[in-house]
Amino acid sequence: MELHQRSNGSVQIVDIDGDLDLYNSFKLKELVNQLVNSKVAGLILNFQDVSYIDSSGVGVLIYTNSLLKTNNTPFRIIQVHGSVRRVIELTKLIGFLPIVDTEEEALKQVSGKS
Amino acid sequence: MATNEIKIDDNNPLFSTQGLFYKEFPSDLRQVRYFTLLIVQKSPPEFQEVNLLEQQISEIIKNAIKHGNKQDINKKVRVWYGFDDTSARLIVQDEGPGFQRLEEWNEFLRHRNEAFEQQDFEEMAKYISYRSPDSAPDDGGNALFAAVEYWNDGVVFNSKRNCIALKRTFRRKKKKAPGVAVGQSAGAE
Repeated sequence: MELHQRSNGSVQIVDIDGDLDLYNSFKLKELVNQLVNSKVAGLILNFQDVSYIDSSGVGVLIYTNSLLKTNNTPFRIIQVHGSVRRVIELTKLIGFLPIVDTEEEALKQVSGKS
Repeated sequence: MATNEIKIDDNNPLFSTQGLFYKEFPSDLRQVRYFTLLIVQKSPPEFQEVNLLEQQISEIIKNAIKHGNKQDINKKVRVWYGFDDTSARLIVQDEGPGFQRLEEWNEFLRHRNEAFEQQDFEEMAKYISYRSPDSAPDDGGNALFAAVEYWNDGVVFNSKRNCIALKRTFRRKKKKAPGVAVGQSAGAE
């Protein structure tokens, strides 16, 4: 799994490429911690190239959501599809996690409110 | 909506191993995806969402390795599995002391489901991940929440609580009626 960072204004977008599971989800957790420490203004996680997630990966999403909420930092997850979306649905986290369809929509929401 | 929970029942028919395939694996987390692929290979080609099936089987095996056998490489995970046209069955047994906090987990699930049904996400946040004193930092604490939804024909432990049996029944593919335009087929999941 690789994490590619880019910016749009003050918002950080992380494109995740690969499986988000027990073996590597710690990498995302570490990056999120770094971004929070560096006072990121907003964060978008792009799941377009993620086709597998397990409970550890879901755990990191829950952790990220909680941490950014505590820090009052806007956060969105985008392009969740296939079995990854089904796992999140089965875990009843649709609605709880801030999932939106497109980057454009996420940018609008993240830039427009805290 | 009825709240799913995990029951304890040694006599549950889901524990019957008749007609099932059998494999045993060492408690090696690094190999779980490989083990699971060996199992899923036996599923009928008509099955859709095979990735999800693989993911759900691998969660149960990971639980057995992590929480049951505590990753002791000398302890084995025993797996029985079988598929027919419309269902998948799985039995996973570890050599650990059993899931002694099952009642607490079921209670936790009840609260979680109630909050979800009311779409009360503030309340749900209190029940979002199940943690016990044995939980490791990389434990998601949510695998069994998905399991009780996915394995829609039952999730049951034996009385020693170190063996779990699960069954999922898939929806049958809808046949196209001749001369009638059909949109998206519901398909087996």
